[in-house]
Amino acid sequence: MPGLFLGRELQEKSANTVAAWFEVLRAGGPYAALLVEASARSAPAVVAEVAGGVVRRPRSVSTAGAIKAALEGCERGSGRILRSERYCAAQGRLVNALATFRIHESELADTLLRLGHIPTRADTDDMGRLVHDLRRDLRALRRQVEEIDGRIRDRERPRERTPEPVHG
Amino acid sequence: MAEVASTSATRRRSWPFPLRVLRTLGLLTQIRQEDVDVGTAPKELVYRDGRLTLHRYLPVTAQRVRTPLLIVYSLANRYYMMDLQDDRSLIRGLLREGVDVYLIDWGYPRSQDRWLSFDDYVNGYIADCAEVVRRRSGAPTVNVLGVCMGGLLSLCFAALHSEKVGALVTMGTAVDYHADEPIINRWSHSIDIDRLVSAFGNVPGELINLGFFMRSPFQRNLRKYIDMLDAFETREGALNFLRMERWTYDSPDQAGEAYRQWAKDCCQENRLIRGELRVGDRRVDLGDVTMPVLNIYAEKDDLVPPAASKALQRYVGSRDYRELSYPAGHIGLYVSGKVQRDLPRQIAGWLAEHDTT
Repeated sequence: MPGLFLGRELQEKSANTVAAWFEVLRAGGPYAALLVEASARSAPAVVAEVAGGVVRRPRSVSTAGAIKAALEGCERGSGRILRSERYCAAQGRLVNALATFRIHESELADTLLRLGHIPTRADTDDMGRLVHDLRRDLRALRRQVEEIDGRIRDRERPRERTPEPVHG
Repeated sequence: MAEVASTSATRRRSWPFPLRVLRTLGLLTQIRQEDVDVGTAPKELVYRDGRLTLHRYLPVTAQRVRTPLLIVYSLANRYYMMDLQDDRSLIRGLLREGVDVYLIDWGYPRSQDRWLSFDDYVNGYIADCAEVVRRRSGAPTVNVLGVCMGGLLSLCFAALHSEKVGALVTMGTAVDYHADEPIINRWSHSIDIDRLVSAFGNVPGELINLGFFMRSPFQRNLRKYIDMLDAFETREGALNFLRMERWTYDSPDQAGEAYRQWAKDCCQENRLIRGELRVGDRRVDLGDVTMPVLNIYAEKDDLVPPAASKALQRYVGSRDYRELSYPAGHIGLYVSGKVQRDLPRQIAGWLAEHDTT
């Protein structure tokens, strides 16, 4: 689509964000379809569990017991889907699409915030990195000081033990 | 009196379902958040570095093991699982057995902590805490107990600083990430970890919790709310349930760089057992873990399957290696009443046997 109205950078970032959102929708479809399939497969298992309970103990079936049996059926029915390679791939695609969308969304937000002279996430990340590096340096320095301190103490220790020469 | 309460609880179980739900909701409204107390064993703060705090638990009996024990908990959840309530507390059990217990609380990482890597955790935080404990106690070494992912960090620390560790205990710790691979690890193979960390910085605890939830959405996660009706028959039962619930949903975000290293190097590429995991500028060789090792695992663990833990025996350099297992799940190792009756005694006994101080 040809660019309209916005500057090049904003145009590019807006387009990337919109494209990333469409990819989220595209990835969400197969994932949702798998969840629906898992539910559909659960239904017969639920019926089997609940009916099995009624047949086994017709007089003592409680509501709580029936719900537990239904949940067990859901787990059994959906388990095969949730453990399949198809689910693994669909979930991965959706998570990756969401992560990509978030990256583009942040970039767009950063650009807009910069126009208003407002610190962005990238700015705070840079600052966080700087503080992190400084803290590492500080830790290394503290250890060096402690090591030197220890060496000095070690050197002074024998001197303390040596009796002063007695004159006169 | 207790018998009367128990009788009326049994009678209430025959109430119609809607009545039981209403009673449970009624009791829920009477309990305040502060009633759901966790991590109550008395302790003192001995060191602080950023969000990390190091605590020493106050002794309750004469010290039987001279070398202090430093507990390195997982980054994925909160430490108070080790001291969930009075009668389900590994820490209280260890104190009763005469162990001098220190524990690292990692706190809640914030956005500026996203750069924390394994190097910072192992060569920075754990090394510093071990040094603080060593100086305070006057012992030449410390014993380390690593829990779950904390076990991985402890193994790295023990391999890279073996002279500082007297004995190592790992609990529910994966070593071979591809052995009997759990579903949650398999899911990670199709996720672009670099992109995830770039997008979020720190990986949200909610996202990680969602992964735990999806591994067994109905049996493990929804069924408990039906079991909750039984738990809420007594106030103490309700509090026990709510403590567990509080811990389950109290998941800190994961520092981005550390998560990247764990997910890519360990879960996806299984580098620890190949001797290719790098922490800072050094390679972690499990062959350098030469101190006595006690490896504790849960036989019904679906997050860290026994095979993933037991692999340690094949790679560790120690000649004094022992395994201990319990018929429990990943969490049951810490909260099961049966396990907690024996486990502290077993750990303390093993530590006493290997006490070199």
